[in-house]
Amino acid sequence: MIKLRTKLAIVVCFLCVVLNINAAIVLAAPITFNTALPVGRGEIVLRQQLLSSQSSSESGIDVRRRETNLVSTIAYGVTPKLTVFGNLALTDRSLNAPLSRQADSGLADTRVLARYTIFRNDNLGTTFRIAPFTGIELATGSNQETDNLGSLPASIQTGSGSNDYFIGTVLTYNKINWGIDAQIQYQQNGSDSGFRFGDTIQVDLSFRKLLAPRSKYFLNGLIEFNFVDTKRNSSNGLKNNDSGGTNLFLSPGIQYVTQKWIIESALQIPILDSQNGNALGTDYSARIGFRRNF
Amino acid sequence: MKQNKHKLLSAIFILATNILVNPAAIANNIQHNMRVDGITCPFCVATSVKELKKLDGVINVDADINKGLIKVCANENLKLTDEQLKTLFLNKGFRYKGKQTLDSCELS
Repeated sequence: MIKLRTKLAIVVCFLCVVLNINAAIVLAAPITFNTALPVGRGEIVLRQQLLSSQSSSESGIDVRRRETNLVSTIAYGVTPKLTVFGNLALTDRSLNAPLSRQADSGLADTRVLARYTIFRNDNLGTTFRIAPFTGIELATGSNQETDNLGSLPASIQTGSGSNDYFIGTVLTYNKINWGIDAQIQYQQNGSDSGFRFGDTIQVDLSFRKLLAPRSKYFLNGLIEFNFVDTKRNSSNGLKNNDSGGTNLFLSPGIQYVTQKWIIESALQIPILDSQNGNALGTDYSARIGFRRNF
Repeated sequence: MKQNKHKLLSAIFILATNILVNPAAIANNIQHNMRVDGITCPFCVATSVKELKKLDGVINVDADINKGLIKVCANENLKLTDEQLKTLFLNKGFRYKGKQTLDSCELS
């Protein structure tokens, strides 16, 4: 049995390498979005992620946008029901066209949010929780950067220039051997200097399966779906027809979970990519990271 | 012969003094098996284990996630009430259901 599990773990790791996921390990929470699982009163959880994504144009012109983010998240349990999160990101963004390359890097916009558990039903090895959340994306990044071509496009500025608000609900049904998480979120973006990013609606779903159960650690495999609908950007009230669109990502992932650590990785692959006009569509988004209990 | 008697008396005196000053010195170790609901992974159980380890008299703590058990090996003088444990686990986000106490510790 042990040999079989070891072989299974090797196969999973091999698949990760093949899929360029870089290996990872699991906990009982989704990788690409939040969970309703608790952070104990007075407890701190640190999450660190490295995200890399690429978008390109389908218009025939070779335009590529690349983005790499180093995201640090701290979760603090104020009460058993109330958890606050702070999300700080360093970003590096570039836009490569046949005759030009524009780039920017620095501190991105910072997210702070509060999550409150309104429903909880615990049984032996099972928990079901519903937790609404709301927060603000503070304009800590810059949206005024320029280069020798003039102002950088909004898509590669490190910040939006506006404080943006979001609200949502996350639901978790977790058993030891498997779990489901679902989340819905709406983000309303503000405007700065007449420019406004389109609002977004996001719906996420995660299925987790325990691949290698041990008394001291878990190895989980995850399949996640991320639906994102982004409205058109506007400038001085005029809609930009080459912005916004709809994406559905399939995100396989893997997690290694111990009492202190979670190491995890996921690859987001677009299975539906419907962009408005010549807006860039996402080719892939990969992430690797860890969580640490203090 | 006299020397042996003297050694024996000294040992009895030291033991008696130790018992009078510190009753815990002769206390046995016992094990509390606590049934806790809502725990589904090692990462989730960590904060509860950490909190239990902080209690004076606790020797070792282990979790059996599949059985929903947190096992605490402790000095028998440590009194753990259901109310105290209910609050402890509630603060960590879980539900304490009850405990069974064993006369000796199975945990190393």
